[in-house]
Order: sequence, then structure tokens, then C-alpha cells
Amino acid sequence: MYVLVARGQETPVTTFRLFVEAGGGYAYKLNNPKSTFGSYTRDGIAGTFRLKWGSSNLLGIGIETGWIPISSTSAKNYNSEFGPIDLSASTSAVPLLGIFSMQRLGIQLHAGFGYYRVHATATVMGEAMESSEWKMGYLLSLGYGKLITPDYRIGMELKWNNIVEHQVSILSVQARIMVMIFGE
Amino acid sequence: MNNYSTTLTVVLIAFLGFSCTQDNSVNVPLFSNGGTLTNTLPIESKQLQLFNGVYDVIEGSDQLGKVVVIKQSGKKLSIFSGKNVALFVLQSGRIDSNLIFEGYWRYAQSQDNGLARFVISAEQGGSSLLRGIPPSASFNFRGAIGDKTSEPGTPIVLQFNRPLKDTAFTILAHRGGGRNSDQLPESENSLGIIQLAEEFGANGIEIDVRLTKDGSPILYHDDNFSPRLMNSEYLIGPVSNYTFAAIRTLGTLKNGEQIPTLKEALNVVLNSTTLSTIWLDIKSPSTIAPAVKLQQEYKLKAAALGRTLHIYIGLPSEELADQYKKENLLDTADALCELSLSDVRAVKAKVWAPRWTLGPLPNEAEQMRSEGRKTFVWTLDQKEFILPFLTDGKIDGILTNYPSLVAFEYYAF
Repeated sequence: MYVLVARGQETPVTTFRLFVEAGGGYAYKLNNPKSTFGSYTRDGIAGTFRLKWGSSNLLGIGIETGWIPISSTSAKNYNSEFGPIDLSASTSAVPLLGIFSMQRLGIQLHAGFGYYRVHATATVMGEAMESSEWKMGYLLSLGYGKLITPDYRIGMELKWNNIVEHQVSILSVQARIMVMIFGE
Repeated sequence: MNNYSTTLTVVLIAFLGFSCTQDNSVNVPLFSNGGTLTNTLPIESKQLQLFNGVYDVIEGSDQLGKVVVIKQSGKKLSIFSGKNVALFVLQSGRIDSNLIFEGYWRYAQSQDNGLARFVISAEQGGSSLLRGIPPSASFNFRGAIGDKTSEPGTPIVLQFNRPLKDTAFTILAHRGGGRNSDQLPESENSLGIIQLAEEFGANGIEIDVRLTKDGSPILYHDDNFSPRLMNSEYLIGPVSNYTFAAIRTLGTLKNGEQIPTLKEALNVVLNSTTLSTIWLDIKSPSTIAPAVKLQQEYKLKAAALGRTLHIYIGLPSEELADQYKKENLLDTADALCELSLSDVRAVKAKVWAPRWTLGPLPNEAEQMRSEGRKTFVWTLDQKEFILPFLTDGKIDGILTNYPSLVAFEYYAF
């Protein structure tokens, strides 16, 4: 397949392929807690799944989803206006982002924009409740992928997810595998 | 590689710019160590009332225009100006017969603010006012203003022109006193902002009422929790997904206050203010019944205290009006209806509340008046449109985010 480049010359260029990427690693919420009760956790295991169409050495577009832990807290006999109470609460997010990527020499930059499904659970005074909402946000990531075979790369990625409407940022370091599933 | 670097830089800048959030906070300046008022005796409210009036601006017209209004609110004096929507809130005290007023000034639609101090010596009118003698045409209210926390140094001189007219006109402060975006010292729909509404120029408030998951009426405007109004990591999505205990425990309003219950808000109005009107903006049909129950309870409490307090159940939609009719409340509760005149009559509302963008509607307002009903318009903030509504003479109240501006226009015209 040949692609016309900017100057209008016909040049044999990179073929475009369909890639699947999967990754996982450690995530850390950057913002300081707005409130804490007893124990507080702001890190956890995050996962990423991407479906991308692009060239193997320059541009690509696709969609990304995955799972991001945000924070959790719990307390027993917490001193509240209702007396001592037990409570626990947590939030997490599932991104659904359109992404585009740029790659040279194995270094990849991804930028994504879209929505996060932010999900919260809480149990206060024995009553459990949960709630979800779509919140707009974006991501930036920088990674490196080492070519193992023409169809496989493995690598690492540093990601910054910013759920703008929730005013939360999460930084994660993830290992990933990239597989070409269609193309030459 | 240069194009790659350039593109990377542009993308990074774009994302960083997108991630910036606007800071709406305003720190109201305070005199250090309490200022001069620390060692003063109080001035009684009825003595402060003598300052009420329309004043000509002799010095300070660059900041305040040609005319201002001074109005007492509890132990404070407020000054309202049409220029820059300027507002002063001054605490009071006296040393012998020398009267001292210290506080802050701000422009309501910007972050300009600073300290203010006015001193009325015994010879300049302090003694007379303390003896209950109203100010004469030669009385000057003298002081100075500063920028932010700087010591006041820019002179302001206000000369008494005439007393304030008596009024049955209702100036309602939106969301209890103002919105978070108006950069006020307290959050919207909080107990704190309700207690500031009068010094902002209001004699009524509008507050937003909705139910928690377990049926407690609370004050909150939006359907969903959000960082715009709340500090909370765990309160997201619909308010109705959370119990009252969860809401009070897991989050606070933007300036750190608790989300108040409707009952707490009515208590504050009754016991800590002299507000005469409360417009309950009901957010869901299921909120009507519990709101009416509290309306009835607090009407009786106000009557027992000899207070005139109108509490209206606001019906902004047909869905709510239908529910109100189904609850058989037409002859029990006092409603305020935002819909058509026929809808107002159908729910036997005491107040018709059309959007101000429909215009003054003098004929319709006159019809309402002839039926013993009032007309309030909402939410009117634009200076150039307030006066036409006031001079028309047919409406009975204005709901606004800038009660100081409406108060100025009302008393000064």
C-alpha cells in the first residue's frame, strides 16, 4: 500500500495496521485528599486496553479503555455528628477515550480525550450506596516499545490521566504488550 | 524530529491549558487584630437605623458614582452603589460619642476589594445620632478605603440627601445570598450565606431544596454532586443516591460548610435574621410534601414570635404543579408558580414568578395584584434592566444574584 506524503510524491511508506495493546501497573492519585477518615489509600493497580489503527512508525488513532483506582477510605467508630459510626468509601474510573499516537524509534506519545465513568461506593452507618457519572477528561502518556517480532512489542509507559470534571489526576507506570492483529 | 518536537510541545501546552481550573475564591479582607473596633462599645440597631438614607458622593465618585444608599442590617451598615456594583459591609462601634465603622468594600462583579473605615466624631454628628436625632442635610459620612489589606487612605465623603422610602418591595437573594461564582465569603445555599443576605441588601432569599435517598430535605442546587459546589472525593452523581448521613459525613460545600437541611435553614432565618420572605425552589415532586410540612411548622413558629415570614413553595414546572395539586395542598400551603397565569390560578398560588426576560408585563402583574397575588421576577442582574421593572411599579419583588444593586436602584430612584 502506498500513501501520498505532503509534497505529493508517491513514495513507498509504512503500512497501516490494527494494533491491540494491553497493559497494567501501578497507579497513584496525585491530588491531596479532600477529606480522610481513618485509613486512606490513594494508589492501586491500573489496567489499560487499546485498539489502535496506525502505522508502525509514526501515527495512529484508536480508542482506549481500562480501569483506574482513585482512592478509598474506611474508619470504625469515626466521630461524626451522628455519634461514632463505621464508614467506608471508594472511587474508581473506567476511561473511554479517543486517542491518537505518534511514534518514532520506539518512543510513543499518546494523547487521548473523552470521558471517564467515575464510580463511587460508600457504606455509612450500615447503609450501602453507589453512584456513577460520566466525567470529561483526557490522558497523556509517554512510553517505549521494543520490537520483539514484527507483530509484537513489549514496553513500559508513563501515563497521566486527568479526569478534569472530577478534578482528579492519576499517574501510572504500566508494562504493556502491543500486538498487531491485522495488517502486513 | 523538529516537527515531532514541535507537535509534542503544542499538544502538551494545549492539555495543560485545558486542565487549568478557575479559582473563584475571594478573601474578604479583615483589619489585623480586629482593627479599631476591638475596644469599642456597641451602637444599638435603632441608632444605626438613623443612618439609613440616600447620600450624595462628595468625594469618591470615581469608585462609587454620584449617589449611594446606606442601610442598616443588625449591628452593621451596608453601603450600596450602582457604579461597579460596589458594596460595603461595615461593623460598628463607638468610643464615647465618636462612632467608628470598619469593614470591607468590594465590587460585586470582580475581585476588586479592600478595607474601609469611616469615623463620625461627636462634633460631626456622633452625639446627635446617639441621642436619636436623624442626620440633617449637612451630615457627612466620612471615611477612606484601601486596596486589599492596605490601610484605608483614599478619602470617601458621603453627604446625607434624604431618608429611605418605606417599602413592601421584596429583594430576594438567589441561592440564599449569591452563587459560588459570585466570589462570596460563604458558599451558595449555606447557613452562612443566608446570614449575610441582609447585609448584601436583600429582605428575602431563594433557596434550592431537594431530597436525599432517605427523604431528608436539604439545600443543594444541582441534580448531581460536583467539584463546582462540593469538596468530596466520594460524593458523585445524583444527590438522591446518597443518604443524609453519607452526605454530611463524606463531603462539605465548597468553602468547607456542611450542606444544611431545610429545617436548619428555616431555623437560621427565624432566629438569626429579619428576612421576611423565603422562596423554596423545589427540585423534585417528592420534595413537595416534606417541604410543605416544614413550611407550615415555621409559619406557626414565626407567628408565635410576632414575625412576618412568608414561605413559598416554588413550583417551576408543570410536573411539580401537578404533584402539588395531587397532594391536595391548594388551600393549605402557600405556593409560588413560575408558569402561566392560568397555572397560577389553578394551584391558587400566592405569587406569580415569571422570568424577567419576558419583560415587566404590567397588565399581567396588575391582574395578579387585583387578585391579591404578588409578582416576583427572576433572576435579574443587569443594571440597565432593573430600573424599567422598578419604575413600571407593578411588580412586588426581584430575585437577583446582586441584591446590593437592586437595593441601590430601588432606594435611589
